[in-house]
Amino acid sequence: MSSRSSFITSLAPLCIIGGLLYAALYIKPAGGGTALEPPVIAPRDHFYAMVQAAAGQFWAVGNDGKVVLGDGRGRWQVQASGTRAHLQAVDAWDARHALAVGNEGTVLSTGDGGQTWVKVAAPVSATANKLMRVQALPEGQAVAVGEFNTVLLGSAYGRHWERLTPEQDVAWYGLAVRGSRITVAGEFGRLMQSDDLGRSWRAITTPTEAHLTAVAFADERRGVAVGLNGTVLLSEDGGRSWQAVGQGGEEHLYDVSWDGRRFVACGDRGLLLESVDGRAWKALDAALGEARNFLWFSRVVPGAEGLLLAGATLGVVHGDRFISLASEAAGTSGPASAAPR
Amino acid sequence: MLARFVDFCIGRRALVVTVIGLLTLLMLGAASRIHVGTDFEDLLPRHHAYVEVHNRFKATYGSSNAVTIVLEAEQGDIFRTDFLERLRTVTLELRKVDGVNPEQIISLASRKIVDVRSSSDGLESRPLMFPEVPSDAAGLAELKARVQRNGLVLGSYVSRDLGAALVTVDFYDHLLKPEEAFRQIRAIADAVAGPGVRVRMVGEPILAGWVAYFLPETLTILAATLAVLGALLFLFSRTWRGTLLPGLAGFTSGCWALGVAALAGIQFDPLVIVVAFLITARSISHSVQLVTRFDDELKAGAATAREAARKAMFGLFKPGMLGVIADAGCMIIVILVPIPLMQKVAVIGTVWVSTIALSAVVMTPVLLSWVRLPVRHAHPINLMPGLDRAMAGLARRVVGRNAYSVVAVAGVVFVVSGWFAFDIRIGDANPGSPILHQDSAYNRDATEINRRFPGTDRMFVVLAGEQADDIKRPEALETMNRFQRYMEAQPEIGASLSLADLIPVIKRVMRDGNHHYEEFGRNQNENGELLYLFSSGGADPSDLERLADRDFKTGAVTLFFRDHQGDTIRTAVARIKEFAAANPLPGMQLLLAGGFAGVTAAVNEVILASQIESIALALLVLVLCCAVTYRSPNAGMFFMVPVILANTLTFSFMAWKGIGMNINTLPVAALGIGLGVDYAFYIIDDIREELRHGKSLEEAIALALAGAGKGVTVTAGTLILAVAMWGFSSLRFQSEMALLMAIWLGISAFSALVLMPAMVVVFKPGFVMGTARAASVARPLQSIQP
Repeated sequence: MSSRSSFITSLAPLCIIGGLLYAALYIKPAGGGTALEPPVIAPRDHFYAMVQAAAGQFWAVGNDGKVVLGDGRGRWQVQASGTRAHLQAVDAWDARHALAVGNEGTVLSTGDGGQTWVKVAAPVSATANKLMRVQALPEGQAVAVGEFNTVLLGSAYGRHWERLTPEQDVAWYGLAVRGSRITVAGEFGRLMQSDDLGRSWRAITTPTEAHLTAVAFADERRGVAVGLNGTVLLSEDGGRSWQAVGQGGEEHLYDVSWDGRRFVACGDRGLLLESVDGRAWKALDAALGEARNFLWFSRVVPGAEGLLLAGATLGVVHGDRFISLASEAAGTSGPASAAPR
Repeated sequence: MLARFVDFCIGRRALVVTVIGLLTLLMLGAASRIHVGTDFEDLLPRHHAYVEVHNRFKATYGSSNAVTIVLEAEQGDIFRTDFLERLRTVTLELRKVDGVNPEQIISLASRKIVDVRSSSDGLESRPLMFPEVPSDAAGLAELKARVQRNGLVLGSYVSRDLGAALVTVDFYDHLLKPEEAFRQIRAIADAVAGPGVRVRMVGEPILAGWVAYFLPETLTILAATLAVLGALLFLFSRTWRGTLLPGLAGFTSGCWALGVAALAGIQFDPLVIVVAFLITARSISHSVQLVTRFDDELKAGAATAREAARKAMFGLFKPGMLGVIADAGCMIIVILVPIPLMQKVAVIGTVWVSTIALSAVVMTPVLLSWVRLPVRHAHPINLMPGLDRAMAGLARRVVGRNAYSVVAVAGVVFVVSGWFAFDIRIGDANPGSPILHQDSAYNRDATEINRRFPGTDRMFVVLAGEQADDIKRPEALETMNRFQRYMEAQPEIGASLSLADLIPVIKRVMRDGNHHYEEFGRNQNENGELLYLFSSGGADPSDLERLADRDFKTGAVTLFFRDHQGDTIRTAVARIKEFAAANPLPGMQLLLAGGFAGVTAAVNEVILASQIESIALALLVLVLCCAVTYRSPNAGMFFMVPVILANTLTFSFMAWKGIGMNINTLPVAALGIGLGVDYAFYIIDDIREELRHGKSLEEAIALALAGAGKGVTVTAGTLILAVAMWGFSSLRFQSEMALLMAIWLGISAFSALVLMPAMVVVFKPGFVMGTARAASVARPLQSIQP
């Protein structure tokens, strides 16, 4: 063995040991795939509202500024809303134009199908400014209502807003617009109406002190308002007078809609009711089974293929079947099994 | 000098044996008092940032020793009076378990699980099912409804399918005696289990309890192993001395090691028994070498037993001591691993290995000197001629061209195994506990609980502010909420819990239960008011303790993991750091990490670096020992080869079998580093001596294999067969470690018998061949040759 190779072999062990020590100091186990895609619908998500904008195009909005666009088959994609405020309501003019409103006076508007949501400044109160409802009207107009006597009229697809009512300590939760008649319902059984798109208002007395959460009309005369503790009010004169109607339960009701042939209402504990005349109500929740006990729905609106439900989860009711839209797998199955938190 | 020492030992043999015998008896006395058990604090790396956070907050945010007990209804749901009564019994009885932190027993039946309702003067927090279980149908239906609407209970303490209820219980670390806790908790579980109700439980104390439960079996297997070992030695050696002396060497070493451990107040972890056996195996190997050499010296014409013993001791003293010192040096390195358990293992192991110098290298030849001649065989079965023929055949085959093939194959094996060794997983490689078999009761329970509930392995991360009430700041709560959303994207994290989950619920209740108001207060004051209302509504201030400290300066986010595999925890930790870096919050800090998963993360972080560092320093010790002994740096390089090969092969085996590098496997892997080399010392030293006596290389190799090689074959074969007994262990860990050891011994023997001679043939290293330079420095050693 030559002296040179002997020199090399005697250095080799030191090199190996040095290399290992270096490795011990600087090699860390790999972090292992930190770029995880969060699930589109997370267990923490609550969806306060959903709307069908066009065939196969649904928007749902919810807590922590979540906006998702779906195909009605359980496939959803998250859209960047740019806000963390809870979004309480959404409505759309068409496949491209939509509005979402929510906590902290948030008004979001899109003109490109939700690719970009733009935050719009609206004349809300600095004291209390949660916006609870929005409704799109023809020609790019819209109305939104919320806390501190807020009723806003929007134009240019929600880019511009004016305040229709002075700041007062009353929160409005429900909204129904037919033609130029606006009906708003709110806390402590309060209700008011305008026949001139909000230029002038008349207060309407109702036979309840419960908070009213929603109001809807079937035609010029017949309307229903619902509220907490199972409250249901019926009007047969276009909203000028209201009478309490029993529906057999005391769970909170959060929404009521007219789907063209009947009123539908939803609320806590998976409560889902229907009534053709607004007076005789029957439960529609057989499809929910056991799951109804921990589900709640804050919005029920008609969609092309059935009733759309938003709340603890997203779903659609076809006839007497409830189909969860909260996961792709559930999009094909029958009774609700989706478990919210 | 060596000659004088040998002469002294053999000459004053009565004195030597008496002194060592008496000392061994003393040590045996001490060893009998050793405490067997697991000290949980020993498992945590000292001074690791996570462990410090854990220790600071574990009293309130959860220790790493939480136990989860689940009661399952075999049919229907849990809302039956008899079932709920059992749940209540478990919850109450757990208070009596030794070491339990009574404030941290939480279940549907505890006072801590409350339902927040609005009342005429604010809020009312009423326990859901405390103190009494509803007895009528209406009460049960009401309870069921309330549970279903309570997002903080449903899913966490009652399964979503309503078929199971969960109890968590936490311990004071310093009061916890896992075997006792396990026994007492099992007694409680057995009392309530019955038709229709099944009880499952998981948690570190339960796991330790199961390990202790199998201790008698472990000892039985140990005894069986030793019996097989003795029988095989007797079969091979055909003499009582060839059987009893190695046994005595192993026994003496064991007494000394355990005695020293007992005197130093170190307790003996049952899982370390494998390591103990590994070291015992070494002392037996050394002793067998001496007995074999003794027989050979007699055959070569030594006149008396004394003479043969003297020659054997003199001839084998150097390779024997080299083996002992190298092993001990490699083992003491493990003390650098900053985990107390490892440091204790290192101390015990070093002492243990060092005692081989006395128990085998000195005692065996001294006792051999009493052997009466002529030698008679104890039984007629003689395996030696066959072994001799095998060794001779091997010797003919490893020289010449074959040597090059052997070295080339070893090179390829090294590269391939080195490549696969990188696949080794740090931390646990599979869900469940790697200590027990996959189908063990414990792992079945763990699987079932984690299927029904969001995860039993908890990690808490602390959001720490600078002053009181910092946690009530809306941006702090929002950060927690975003952090939880971010972390829950990882599929193995089933859920998370923090103050940011509670405050929106309080606000919703304050707003008549309206879901549109499930949100934070608008500012720090409103959040403070909500928390005040919650507390003043009847909730105990300690009820908030698992979420935030009393002055709300820090808050915890608890993450629930479905498993604690190394990758799961590493991914989570990387994501926590990512989140913290991307979301700095002025005046607040995100502190990692406590709870079982938190400290496991800390352990895993130190394990890889420590293991590589241990290997490097062990190699350094080895190289130095060899270089000094043989006065040649090349010797260091030469003996590194079998060690590195043993390590890469073992690592790739672990990677292949999915055995992760964790707190339990680390001692075996770390202590194994130096243990692979002493067979090689005996063979190479033998070759070197024969060359020195003027034999040709071929003859020298043949003689070395016939002498030392036979001893290596006998010990390796015996130990591998004996170790196979551990395959019957109920502890998967022990089966796997036994397999690992068998592989280790096999590779070492193969390296020594085949690879080392081949390397001598191929490289002709100076320190073996005796070139001018090496011979000149080696001469002083030779001059004392008798």
